[in-house]
Amino acid sequence: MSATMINEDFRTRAKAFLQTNGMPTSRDEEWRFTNLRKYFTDAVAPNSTSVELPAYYHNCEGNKIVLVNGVLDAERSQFDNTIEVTNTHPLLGSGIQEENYFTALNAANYTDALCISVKGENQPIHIFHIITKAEFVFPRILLSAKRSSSVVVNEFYTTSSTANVSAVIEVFLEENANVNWHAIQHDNGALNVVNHVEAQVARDARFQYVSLSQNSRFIRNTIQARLNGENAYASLNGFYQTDGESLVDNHVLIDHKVANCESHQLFKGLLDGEGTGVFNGKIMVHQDAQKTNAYQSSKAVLLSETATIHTKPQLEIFADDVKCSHGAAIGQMNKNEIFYFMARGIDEKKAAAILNYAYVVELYERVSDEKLKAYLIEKLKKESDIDF
Amino acid sequence: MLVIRNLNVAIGEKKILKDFSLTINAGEVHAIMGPNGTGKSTLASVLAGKAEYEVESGEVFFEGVNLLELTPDARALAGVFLAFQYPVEIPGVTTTNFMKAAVNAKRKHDGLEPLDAKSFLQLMNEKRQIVELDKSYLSRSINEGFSGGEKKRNEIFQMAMLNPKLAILDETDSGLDIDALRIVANGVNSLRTKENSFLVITHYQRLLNYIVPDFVHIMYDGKIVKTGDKSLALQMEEKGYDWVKEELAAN
Ligand SMILES: Nc1ncnc2c1ncn2[C@@H]1O[C@H](COP(=O)(O)OP(=O)(O)O)[C@@H](O)[C@H]1O
Ligand SMILES: [Mg+2]
Repeated sequence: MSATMINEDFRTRAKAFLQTNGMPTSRDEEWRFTNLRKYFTDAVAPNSTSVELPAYYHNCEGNKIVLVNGVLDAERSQFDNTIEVTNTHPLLGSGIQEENYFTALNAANYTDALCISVKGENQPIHIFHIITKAEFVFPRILLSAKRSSSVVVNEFYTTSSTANVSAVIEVFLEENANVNWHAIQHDNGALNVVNHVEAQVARDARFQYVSLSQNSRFIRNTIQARLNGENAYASLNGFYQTDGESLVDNHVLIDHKVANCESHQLFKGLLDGEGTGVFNGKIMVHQDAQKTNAYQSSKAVLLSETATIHTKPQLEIFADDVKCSHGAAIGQMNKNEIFYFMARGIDEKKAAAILNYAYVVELYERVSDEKLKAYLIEKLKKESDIDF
Repeated sequence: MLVIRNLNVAIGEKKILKDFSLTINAGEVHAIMGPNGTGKSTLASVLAGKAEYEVESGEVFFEGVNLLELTPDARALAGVFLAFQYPVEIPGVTTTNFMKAAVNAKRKHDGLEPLDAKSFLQLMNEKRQIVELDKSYLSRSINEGFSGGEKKRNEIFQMAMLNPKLAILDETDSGLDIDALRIVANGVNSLRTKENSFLVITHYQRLLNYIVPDFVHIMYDGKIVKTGDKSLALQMEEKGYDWVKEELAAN
């Protein structure tokens, strides 16, 4: 890793932003349904002494990068010499189009950035976040995918006691590049994370993102893809599961800036207990973005009377020759489907498990890394008591 | 095998089955014919255990067991099968996986080990051929995008897989072309034994040319009003349901 001067300009701007902007409240339109103060309290939990790497660290092949509290752990990281890893990058900070409290908080406080440049075809890059302290940690990641390169990034979170994370991820896709990013936000129920991902997508490039948000306490994903060149493609997908008092909030934006681009959004929630889900999916089609194809689908299943879901599709279309569609469905477990199973001798619990599994696995199947997909589906089957 | 005595069933305020009685012995095929809205599907649903119906009075015994006290899955495991008039589509669950769960639930109930992958595949292949169902359907989501005839064949396929003691077919023939009808009927006939019984609900006599019943019952306004042999079905087809209504009025 080569040490370079940290770009002080955007840090200074972020600090200035924080001078005049505090943590957002529900009066802020972007945070209407998400009470941050409930999850990020001042009470400081004890730090964890050791947090084990997840099992997949030992199973996976390719590049492995371990970030302990946002800082590279060189000893446990290993990567091919075809990928370039540095602690800063000329583009750092430039991928965030609109500063907000958490992007600024991160910019003002991160210690080292993880900046990765890739060219050509690459082995998957696995990023393991290990959080051992209760104070806020600030992972800062930048991926620069050079012209016609392709790479898969798999990101995992592991904590053992309360963890508060504000992460910022900037992804730059040059012409014809291909990035598939999978955020595996499974945890032991102690994770609070605000995750800001912003991808700048050049012509003919393809960005696909899949988040699987389960067993955490609080997750806010702000996922934005900006389609800056013709024939760019973005597909943003997520599955979220809440139980107890947990909350998952997905704020998704696809920004069609130029003509002839295509985008997809598919988000599905499974909400139990007193859990809360938020889905805000925005499709922005600028005046010049003719022949845009943009699709959005959001589904949520409420498993209890006390679970809550807030969904809000937002279409802002300023071009006249576009194909846009969106659908939002909220439902309970379908009684007729359960009855069909029971009429074949399958008990109610098993029927519900199979139906839930079928609902969830659609998002798991969007994971494009075959090895990771097989691993996650196997795990899901075990957890759901599915034996086929 | 099945004894229904003075069954009264309502949905909400509406009384649908009125003092309905019927006895089916092992190995018999009974057909129930009747106009739309007379309560045929309600009878089938109540026997299978669908929740929204209220049984106000009466009793149903299946092999001496009070069927009304069992959950739907327990009824299926005891050997009752319903081929639905309108089978649901279930996205994301293949017929193969669905049948694996069903067959293994039954085997568990019977104190048997789950079938190994190879034997299960063999069983599926054997049974799907009875209803001439292409292999590809089994790896698709249950009934999703299936035509009416394909859905009905899938029901009979499932019946063949589970080999029930009592199969209730709710208008499995309605809307089928003659080829599909023959396939469905062959499926049923191939499962007829001295032990297995069938309750075939139909709106049309045509099916009974292929599945020859031991008894034909005419159902009207929530109960059986006339019982005969297969010639009654022909009479019905010829004279129409109005004939029954007139006869009833005359009495
Ligand atoms: N879920 C339901 N809710 C309200 N009414 C119903 C329901 N199911 C059936 N019915 C009514 O009960 C009567 C009998 O219906 P059904 O059993 O489906 O008749 P059939 O199968 O003989 O055509 C009809 O009048 C129908 O409208
Ligand atoms: Mg009916």
